[in-house]
Amino acid sequence: MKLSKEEIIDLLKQRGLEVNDLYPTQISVIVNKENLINHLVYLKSIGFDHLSFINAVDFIDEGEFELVYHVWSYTNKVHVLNKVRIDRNDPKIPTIVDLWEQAQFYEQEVHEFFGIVFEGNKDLSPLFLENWLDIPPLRKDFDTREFSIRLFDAKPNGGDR
Amino acid sequence: MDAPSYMLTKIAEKDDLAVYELFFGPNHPGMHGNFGYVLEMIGTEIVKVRPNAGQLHRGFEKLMEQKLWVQNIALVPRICVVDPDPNEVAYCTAIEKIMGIEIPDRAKFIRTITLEMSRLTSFLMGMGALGAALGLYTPMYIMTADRDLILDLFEWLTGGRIYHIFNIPGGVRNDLPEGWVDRLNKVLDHLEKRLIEYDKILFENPIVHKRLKGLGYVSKEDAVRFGLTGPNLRASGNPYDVRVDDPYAAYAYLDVKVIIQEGGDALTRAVQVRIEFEETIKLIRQALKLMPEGEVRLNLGNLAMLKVPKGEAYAKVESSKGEFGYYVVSDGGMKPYRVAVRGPSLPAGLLLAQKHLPKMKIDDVAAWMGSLAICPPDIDK
Amino acid sequence: MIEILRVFLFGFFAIFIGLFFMGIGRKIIARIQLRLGPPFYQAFLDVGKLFSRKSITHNFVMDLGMVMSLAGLVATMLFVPIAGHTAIKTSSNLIVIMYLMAIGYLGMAMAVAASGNPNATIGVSRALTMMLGYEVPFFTVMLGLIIINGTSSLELIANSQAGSILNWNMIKFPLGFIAAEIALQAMMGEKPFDAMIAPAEIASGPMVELSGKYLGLAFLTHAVSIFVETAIIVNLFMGGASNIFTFVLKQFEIYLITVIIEAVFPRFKIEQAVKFLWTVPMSIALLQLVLIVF
Repeated sequence: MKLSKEEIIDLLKQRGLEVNDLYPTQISVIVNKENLINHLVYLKSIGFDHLSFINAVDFIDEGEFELVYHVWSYTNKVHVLNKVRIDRNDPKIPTIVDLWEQAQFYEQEVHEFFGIVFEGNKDLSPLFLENWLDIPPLRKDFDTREFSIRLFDAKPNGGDR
Repeated sequence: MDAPSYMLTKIAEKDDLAVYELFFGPNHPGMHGNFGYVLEMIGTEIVKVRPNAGQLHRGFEKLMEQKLWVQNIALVPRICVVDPDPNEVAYCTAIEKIMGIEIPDRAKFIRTITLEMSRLTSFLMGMGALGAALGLYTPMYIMTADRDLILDLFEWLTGGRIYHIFNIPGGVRNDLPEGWVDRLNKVLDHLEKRLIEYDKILFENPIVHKRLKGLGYVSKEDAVRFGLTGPNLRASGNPYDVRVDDPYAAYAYLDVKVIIQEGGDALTRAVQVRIEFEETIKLIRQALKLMPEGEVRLNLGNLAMLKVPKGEAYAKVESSKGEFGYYVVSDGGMKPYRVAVRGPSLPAGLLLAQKHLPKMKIDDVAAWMGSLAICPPDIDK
Repeated sequence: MIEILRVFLFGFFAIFIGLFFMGIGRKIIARIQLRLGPPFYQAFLDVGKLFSRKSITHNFVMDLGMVMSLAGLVATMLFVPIAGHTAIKTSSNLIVIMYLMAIGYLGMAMAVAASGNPNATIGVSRALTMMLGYEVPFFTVMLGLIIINGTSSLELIANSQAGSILNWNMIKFPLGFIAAEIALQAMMGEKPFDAMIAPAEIASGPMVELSGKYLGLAFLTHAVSIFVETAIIVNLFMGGASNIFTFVLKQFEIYLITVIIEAVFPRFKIEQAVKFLWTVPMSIALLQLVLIVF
């Protein structure tokens, strides 16, 4: 049964969530950390069966990470950006591996690059970086220029020749 | 060296049989790109799989936060080597969504034609790689020669053969030169004639059927549940295609035929690529007929000083491997705040490996990878 | 003294013709694949380059094994009549020839298993399994020919086909020829039966651990094996020859068939290959055997 974008916005607003209508086939929903799993289960029940992507954005000025869960419905043809804010100094959130199995790898990637801990994910070992001793690299306070100069003895502007 | 060099290193024991470790690794003639699986094996049968990713990690997402909006268009095609145009289109579409602008119609059609030509080159390489994984090198060489004809057309239009850097926010860089359309029609005729030869040597080869039948079966529900997209999804019976579900560029004006097949195994996926190849040629011809006149880019001023207003957008494109997605967050400045890339090979390369590879023999790993179109650069980014 | 020189002469001739055939074969495959291909003398350049490199060895067993494989094949070649001449005076017994050919494979197996690379070990086990596969139909065909000729001497079998072209065993026993051709494809390690060297699956199998001079020795072994195996087929089915040139020409025809089949087929898995070899050529050979006996 196909739901239109307006009907989906109404259903979600009735559940007390803040919804933004962004583009003709895209809406965004702000979700709390505690309601995340219930919300995703509800979305799965109304036809959103494809988990596209999980990524994080670092808002360092507000002291928060924002996790975005992208789900798409093949029957309703609407893309939902589920945005969850968590505290930057203690980034922890429960995992959604039981709903979609590919989430284990997306969460592994986000953990490696941002340092967010997903409770319940059985394998958060490093996937891409080897012997990494610094802070997670995609955070905004990781300076790539200073990292190169320190690690590889790079001389900026060719050094003094 | 502690153990004598003529003994394999035994890492475990299971039911009195020794388990040893084999690197189906980054440096291997059967692997596409620098990616590896660390396999634990008993005899020639695989027991456990661990992905060995990260050799192609170039740090694109961090790099894109430090460069101007228009400088990133030179970085973005390098995320996928075989099919680079969907990256540019997705990135520019995301920027255009945030800015709220719509590009001229002629630019939409030119974008569509370059996207479909890039899909042709990727299919040619993919079919050739599948044959080479089985040991059939003849179609691989012939397809590489045919792919060169399309790359010559790209060089005439954009200046680059593989990475085009042709799309910009607001349209495309320049219009089609004189005589380009005639040459494109000649190349398409040549490819249609060649399809008969490809059929005879690759798709009707009895040994290819014997090798690929029943390999890597994905059922209809599993394909959606695991997040597969693109031809892999459609070869399992699901009628979903981003060009029809969520149209971008000029696809809303064209009649795109969605090819569905039941079967779900490697042979069905190979035939799926072949049928989509033929449909792509027909789609380019359709787009050439319907293309209107007009401008090809909006005047946005000096692109190096482009400022994108605050907002966010997710744009997705149907590449030859699946759904390529770009999530762009802008804070109103001259550089992006965050660009996150969704590559289509991650569910197949990492999740399906855990499901299919144990209990498979080592003979089939290369053919399995080739049939699912796993391309490592967009896992690592 | 003359005997030793004769042996050396035959050895170098076999290596030369084998490398020459390999170069021509690569050119033909390249033309089928719509490309220009390397020059005819490419195999000589390859062997020359490989012997000028440094090589890594693991232990003494690896050295011994490689030399043993080349020596085994050269020993086989000494017994095969080439246009009526053999390198040493012998009755060129067919069973002795087939027995000595196995030493080639076993030598390489020994050398490569001593290196400890799992890819190489898998490749060697596949090579030995393939040997099990192709020996069965080939021996059946040979048995038929031995029965009809009453002798197991290759020279006498070749001479019995003298006369006209209609006397050739290829025309008199066509089913046997077909079965032997399929078994020859597996004996030479060409597709569709080249599971031993499967680059995409096991990183070139036995050759993955060989470098420099060892790879050169492997090339030479392959060259001599081409010469020996085509020579056996020419003697069995195409009536030997009266002079060297006709003999080499007939060998080239057999090699040409092999190369053309190789260009258009992928490879079987090892279980599929053995199953195929034990059903299709085996039944043809059995049919031929029954026709001969009754």
